[in-house]
Amino acid sequence: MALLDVRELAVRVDGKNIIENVSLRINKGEITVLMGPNASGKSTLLYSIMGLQKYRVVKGKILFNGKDITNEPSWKRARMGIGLAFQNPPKILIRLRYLSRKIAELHSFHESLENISKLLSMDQLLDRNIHYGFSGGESKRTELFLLMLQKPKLALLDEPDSGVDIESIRSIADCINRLAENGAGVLLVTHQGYILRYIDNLGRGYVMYNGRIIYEDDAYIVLKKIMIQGYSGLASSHKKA
Amino acid sequence: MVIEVKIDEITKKVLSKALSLGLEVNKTGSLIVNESMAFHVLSEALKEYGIIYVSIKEAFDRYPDIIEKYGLKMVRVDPRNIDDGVLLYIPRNTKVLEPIYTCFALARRGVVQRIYNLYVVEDYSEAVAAKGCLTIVPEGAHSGITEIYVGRHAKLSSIMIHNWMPEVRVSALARARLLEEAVYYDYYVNLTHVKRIGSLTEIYLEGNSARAQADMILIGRGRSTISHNVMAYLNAPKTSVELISRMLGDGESRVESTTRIIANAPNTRGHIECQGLQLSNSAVLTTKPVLESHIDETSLTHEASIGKISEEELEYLMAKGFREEEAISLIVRGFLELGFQRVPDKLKPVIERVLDILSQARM
Ligand SMILES: Nc1ncnc2c1ncn2[C@@H]1O[C@H](COP(=O)(O)OP(=O)(O)OP(=O)(O)O)[C@@H](O)[C@H]1O
Ligand SMILES: [Mg+2]
Repeated sequence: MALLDVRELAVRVDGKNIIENVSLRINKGEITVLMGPNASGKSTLLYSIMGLQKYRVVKGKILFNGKDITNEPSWKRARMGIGLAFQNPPKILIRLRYLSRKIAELHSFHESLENISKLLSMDQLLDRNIHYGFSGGESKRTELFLLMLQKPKLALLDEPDSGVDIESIRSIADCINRLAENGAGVLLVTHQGYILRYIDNLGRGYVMYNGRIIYEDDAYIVLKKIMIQGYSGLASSHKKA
Repeated sequence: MVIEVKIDEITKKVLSKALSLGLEVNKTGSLIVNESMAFHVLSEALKEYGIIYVSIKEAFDRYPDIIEKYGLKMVRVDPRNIDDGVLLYIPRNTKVLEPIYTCFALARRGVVQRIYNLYVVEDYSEAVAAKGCLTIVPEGAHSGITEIYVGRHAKLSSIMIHNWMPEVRVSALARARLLEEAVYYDYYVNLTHVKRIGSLTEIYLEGNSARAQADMILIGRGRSTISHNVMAYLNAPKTSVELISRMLGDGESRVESTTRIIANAPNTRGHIECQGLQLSNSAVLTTKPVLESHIDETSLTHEASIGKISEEELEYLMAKGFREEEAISLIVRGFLELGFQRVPDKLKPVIERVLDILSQARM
């Protein structure tokens, strides 16, 4: 049984159909990659799996560990073990240190925060209000940091590597590997693919185009295809779904 | 140190409530229940430094010279109409960094408590005063008048926590006078429903380079009506003041914050900041920042905004596992904490306690 099983999902946002007929499976301990051009619906798919209110599932369903969670609110999904690192998180007047403690408490994260905090160089950020004036890379690290504290069984990572310097990409990849080593399934959205060379247990890759999955294969083959054919090339040669 | 005085059941009850607010009156402090002081504790060491901390009734008898020099100067009160209150006197060149706690409590239904306090911090001295008002009966009235005198190069930090009940009426007047290079911090927060609070704080910056800052957190809940007024008079050159208010409107409350800076001397600076967070459609928040200048060499500014909790922030926190109510509490806490960022270290535990109480309570 797959950890996450998305079946023929259609999603509408603010009265607009964004995702059509998307099916995808994620296994435990594996890193699944999702690629696609801007506005193809990657974030929308992640939000739908997370269960954000605005994202209305109009068709299909989402199974997590075999259980239908399509109608569960996001906070329940989070408590079941689904976590999302946001692509563009909002800034909120909450001290990061305080929020980290609360999240750790909520998800019974008992280790000291120090190790992860060090790995992601969080020290300078903990006493600031979350995402207030954070640089792009700092925001990415913060999202991953908070996600780690959730001890997720399924980690949804929305472009954790975008705008991140080369050294930090390595520590972000380390974190992702660590999540998978602990048995989590990971869904990784990336544009560059550069991060994939540091990822250990790479699984399947999916390509989204215009709200649909148009191609699926082993992640490294997907990456190669995209390099050679480009998204539009892939779209015209693989009329899937 | 634990209090040694014998206390009755009511005082015990009041004391435990005071302690739950972080007001450690049993260390250094006093408790005024209804019309009179139930006990006060001041260590021998502090007494030896010449610090005086007694009931105002006692002060009228024992320290007429201090009363004569500082008392009833800025307010008009007939001593016969005072039930009780405190005198805190810090002599010259004395720094007391431990907070001195005072708690005023209503413990009899329908009681009307009339308080007069006098705080004197002499030149080059420093003190931290934490005051709390609370009630263990649902109905009553509290009227408090406080005079504050901060001498040259002296510093006073004062925090006031209001913890009333829905049928209690409160009026509070405080007047502070600051001499050369004096520093005065005033923090105010109310924690609970109350029928009506009307308060006026006036700060007179009379000595060159005196500084003042007032941070207030005004919580409107239930059917509370809260009107909070702070005025600062920049009467000497190079004086400066900052008035910062955070308002929260829930239930059918009405909260009004008026802050006014009056500049009468050159090279002065003043800033007002008001932020309101609206949690209910039936609450009314009003903010009135007023800047008044009588000279040309002053810089006065203000910022004000009122908004509601953003959907995006809520969604974000809920995706991290918080229920909607928990997410709201987190946002509220963060919003309020901002109002108390500059509280002196010694008062941080009190503030933490207050913030926890505020964010745990269902809004
Ligand atoms: N609330 C909304 N109302 C209308 N359109 C929306 C809304 N939310 C998303 N969309 C649209 O849905 C499409 C998919 O957006 P999404 O954010 O999922 O793309 P993406 O693949 O993550 O793109 P990127 O690579 O740029 O992050 C876009 O055209 C976007 O404008
Ligand atoms: Mg996106």
